Amino acid sequence: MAGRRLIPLADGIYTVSEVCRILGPRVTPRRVHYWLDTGLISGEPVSRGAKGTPTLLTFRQLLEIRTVQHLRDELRVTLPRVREAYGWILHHVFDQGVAVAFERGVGGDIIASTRDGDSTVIPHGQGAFPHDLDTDELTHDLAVARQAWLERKYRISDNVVADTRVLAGSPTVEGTRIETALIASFAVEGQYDDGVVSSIEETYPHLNTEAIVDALEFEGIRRAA
Amino acid sequence: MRYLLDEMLSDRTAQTMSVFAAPDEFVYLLEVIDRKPDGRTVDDPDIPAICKARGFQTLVTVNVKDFGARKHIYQAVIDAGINVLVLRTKKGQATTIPWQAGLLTRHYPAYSRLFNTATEATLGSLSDGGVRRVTLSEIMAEIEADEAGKRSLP
Repeated sequence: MAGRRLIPLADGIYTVSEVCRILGPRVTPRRVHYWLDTGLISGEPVSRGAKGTPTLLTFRQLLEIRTVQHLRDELRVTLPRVREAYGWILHHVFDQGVAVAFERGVGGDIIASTRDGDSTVIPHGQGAFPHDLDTDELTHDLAVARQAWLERKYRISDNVVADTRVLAGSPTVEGTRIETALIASFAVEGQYDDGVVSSIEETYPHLNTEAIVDALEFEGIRRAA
Repeated sequence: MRYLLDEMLSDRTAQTMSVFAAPDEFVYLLEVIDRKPDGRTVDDPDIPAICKARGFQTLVTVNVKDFGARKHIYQAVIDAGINVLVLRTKKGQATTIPWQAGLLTRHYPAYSRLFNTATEATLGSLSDGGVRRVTLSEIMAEIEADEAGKRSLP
């Protein structure tokens, strides 16, 4: 356990694989480590994961990874070209907590700006940004990340959240202290049926069926054919 | 000794334990709290205060999958002078009511003795094999090893 710094209660803490699970298949461990190693994601991990111990990340780092991944998916440009602009965006959203909006500038660049007039340019370089790039969608997505940061709660699905105040940010059924991993323990050979759902409902009568199924699906448990 | 069962256990387990042990010796968390205005039940930092205010000497919880975050929660509870009893599953073990109640009834004498004779707040790991007094580092290493084992399965 040596080498880990203590984090305050309610700060959230995640392994790289958990970050990838929460953020979906487009986020890979290799990419996360690369972004950490090259300093794109701010701050040091809680633990660097030397010799068999996992690298542990904070809630903020989880949200930064989500933001970079989304920008990467939408803008489809290589990191070196936009590193500085990404750094500016992450700083304003997560250090200053301010809203950032995107628009197309003259010449095809993307301009990211705050309400008080601070701005940066994401240069298009040699090639243009995708024709169908929707800057409103970029703005909306960044607002979602900012809101999650302000609330310290990231919505994974309708009923599953990572709330830093609850079980250190582990994915749980929203409003409860019941982890999705605990619900998944009821599955049989990676699948569930009505009997599994009934057993979970009996154990946790305050959970509704929809929330249970949501938690199972998040854990990769599928309904038996 | 009064035990507070964290929400990830079941109210039915608390009912079973109330028949088996003394009434009100085991109480389910949701029976002693009011939900927050936004519908949340209890946050991690609230747990030590609830135990103290309601006269619980031991928090009973479950840990099926964790790499260190839970350490901070246990530490805060122990720092508040409250024992922590962590139920540990076997690989592929569902955390059903029979499993919860079975573990707690079968090993009741052992963990009661552990906590009653301890001179300071104590962390206990409870599995099919019985209860062991452990340090935070030991239980986290144990959980990490279990998780690593699960990951390496074909």
